[in-house]
Amino acid sequence: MEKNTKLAISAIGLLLVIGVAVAVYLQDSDTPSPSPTPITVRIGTMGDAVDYAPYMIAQQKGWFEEAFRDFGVDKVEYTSFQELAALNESLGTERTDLVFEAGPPAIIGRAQGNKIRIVGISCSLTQEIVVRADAGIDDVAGLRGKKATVPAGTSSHFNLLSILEASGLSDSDLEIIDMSPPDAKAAFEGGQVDAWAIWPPMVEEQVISGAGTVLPKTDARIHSVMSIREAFRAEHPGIAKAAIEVLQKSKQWIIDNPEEAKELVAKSLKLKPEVVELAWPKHDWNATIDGELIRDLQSKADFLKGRGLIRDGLDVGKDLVDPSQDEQPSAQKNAA
Amino acid sequence: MSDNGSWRRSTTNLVVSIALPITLLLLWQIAVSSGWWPRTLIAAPSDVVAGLWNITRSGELFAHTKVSMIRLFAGFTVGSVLGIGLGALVGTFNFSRRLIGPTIESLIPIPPPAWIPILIITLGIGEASKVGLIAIGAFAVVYAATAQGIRGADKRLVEVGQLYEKRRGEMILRILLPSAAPNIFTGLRVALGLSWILLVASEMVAAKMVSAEARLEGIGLGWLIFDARRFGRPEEMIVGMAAMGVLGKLSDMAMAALQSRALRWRTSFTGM
Repeated sequence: MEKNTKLAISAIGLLLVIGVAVAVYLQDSDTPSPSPTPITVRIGTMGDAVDYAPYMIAQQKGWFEEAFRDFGVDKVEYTSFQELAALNESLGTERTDLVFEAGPPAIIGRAQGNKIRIVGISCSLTQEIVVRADAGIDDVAGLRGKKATVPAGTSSHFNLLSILEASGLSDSDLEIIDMSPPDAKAAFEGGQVDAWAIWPPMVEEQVISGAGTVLPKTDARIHSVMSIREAFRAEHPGIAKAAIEVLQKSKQWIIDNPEEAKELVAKSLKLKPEVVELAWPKHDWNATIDGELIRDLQSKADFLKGRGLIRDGLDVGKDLVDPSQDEQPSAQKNAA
Repeated sequence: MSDNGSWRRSTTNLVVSIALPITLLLLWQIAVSSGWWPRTLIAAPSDVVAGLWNITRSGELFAHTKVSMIRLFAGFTVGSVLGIGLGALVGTFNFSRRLIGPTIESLIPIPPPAWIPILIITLGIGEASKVGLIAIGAFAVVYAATAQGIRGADKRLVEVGQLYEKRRGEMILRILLPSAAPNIFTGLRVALGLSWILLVASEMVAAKMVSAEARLEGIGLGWLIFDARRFGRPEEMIVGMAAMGVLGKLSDMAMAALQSRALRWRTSFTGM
C-alpha cells in the first residue's frame, strides 16, 4: 500500500478509536453531579465498628428514610468501605454524601481536598491496646523491643504513639507494622505480632477467645463522628439537618434502650452477644461536639502533618468541625 | 533515494508509535486541568513530573524499586522453578500425574490473594509471605504451561528417543523439555506479568510504619502506590504506577529476548 495512504488510514483509525473511547466514557460514567430528582442519599461507613451503633440502629429501623421523605428523598443507599482511600475517592467524586468515620479519616479526607464537615458525633471511646496473653507484657513499657500492629492513619495509630510517648517510648523502640484489621487479626492470632492497637469489637474478640489481654487504660480517645459533604449540605440543608436529628434520636434511643441496642448491634455486625456486652461500657453515647473534641482532633491533625502523612496542615475548628452545630452538652456526661 | 526512503519510513514508524500515548497524555492533562477529574484524586501529568523529580532526587524511588525488584525476582524464580519441575514430572510420568495432578489442579484456580491469611499465619508478615504470594501465582501459570507443553510434544520424537534407548532423564532434558520450550516460555512471560500484580498485592499487606526519613530504605513500589492513594499524594501514586509499568515492560522485553535466543530454531510468523 502506498505510504501516504497508510499514514492517512492510521491517523483516521486513531481518531476513531479516541472518539469512540470518549463517547463511551461520557455515556457510561455516572456523571458526578448533584443528586438527580428524586433524590438518593448515599451514606457510607469506614469499616465496621461497635461505635457506629447509632448509624446501624437508625439504618435497621429505617429512621433515615423516614426523616428524609419530606425532602423528596426516595432512596437511601448504605455502603461499607473497607479502605479509606476508596471512601475518600467516593467523596471526592461526589458519589457519597454522608459518612460515619473516626476523626483521622475525616482529617485525611479534608486535607486531601474533600470539602467535608463534621456535623455530629456518634460516641467517643477509650483507646485500647490488646496484647497476646502469652507475650508476658503487663504495661506499655513492656512493649519495648516487641512487634505491634495498627492501621495507619487512624485514631489508633495516633493514640498508640502518644501512649508510647507518655511512657517514655518512641516508635523506634519497637517495631510497628501497618496492617488493615483483617490482616492484623490473622497476624495477631497467628502469633506474628505481640500487640494490636485497635477498636471494638476486635479488642473484645481477642479477650473473650483468651488470645489477648488489654493493657491498662489511658486517656487516649477515639471519636466516632458523622461528616457531610459541604456541597451536599449547601444544596439540601433540610436533609442535612434531618440527618443530624436522626443521629441525635438514635443516640438517645441507645441510652434509653441499652439491651435492645446491644442486640441490634450484635445482629448487625454478626458478633457474639458477650463481645458486644464487653465492649458496650467503653462507649460514651453522650458525646457532643465541643472544645475538647476540636482540641483532640487538632492534635491528631498536627500529628498527621508532622509525620508527612498529610500534605497540608488543617485548622480543625475552622475547616473541619462546624461550630454552628454545637449541641447542648448533655446533663449527664459520664466518662466511659 | 533509498536512504531518503528509509529515513522517512523510520520517522513514520516513530510518529505512529507515539501518536497514541501523546494524545492520551494531552487528554489526561485537559481532564485534570479543566476540573473534569478531581485533581486531589488524579494528578495531572505536570504534577506527576514534579513528583517524579522529588522522589528520584531523594533516592526514595530507587530504594522502593530495588526492594520491589528483589521480591519479584525471588518470588518469580521460586515459583517458576517449582512450576517447571512439577510440570515436567506430571507431564512426563502418568503415575505422577495421577498422584499429584488433581490436587495441584484444584488448588491452582484459587486466586492468589485469597491465600494471604494463610500465608500470614504460616510465613509471617515479613518478606517470606510476600515472596510466597508471588511464587504461588508464578507457579500456577508455569506448572500448567509446562505440563501442557510436554503433553504436546511430538510422539514421533519420543519414539526416536526410545529407539536409541535414551534414559528417562535424558528424554526429559533433551527431547521433552525442548519440545515444550515454546509453551514454557509463554507461561514464563505470563507468569512474570502476574508476578508484578501480586507484588503490589503483597506489598499492601504489612508494611513497617516508617517516618518520612526511613522511607529512604525502601518499602516497595506497590506500597508507594497504596500509601500515596491513602494519604492523598496522587502524583506519587501515578509515579509508582508508571515505574511499575516501565519495569514490567523492561522485564518482559528481557524475557522475550531470552525466549528468542532459546527458541532460535523455530520458524514462526513475525508479523506483516
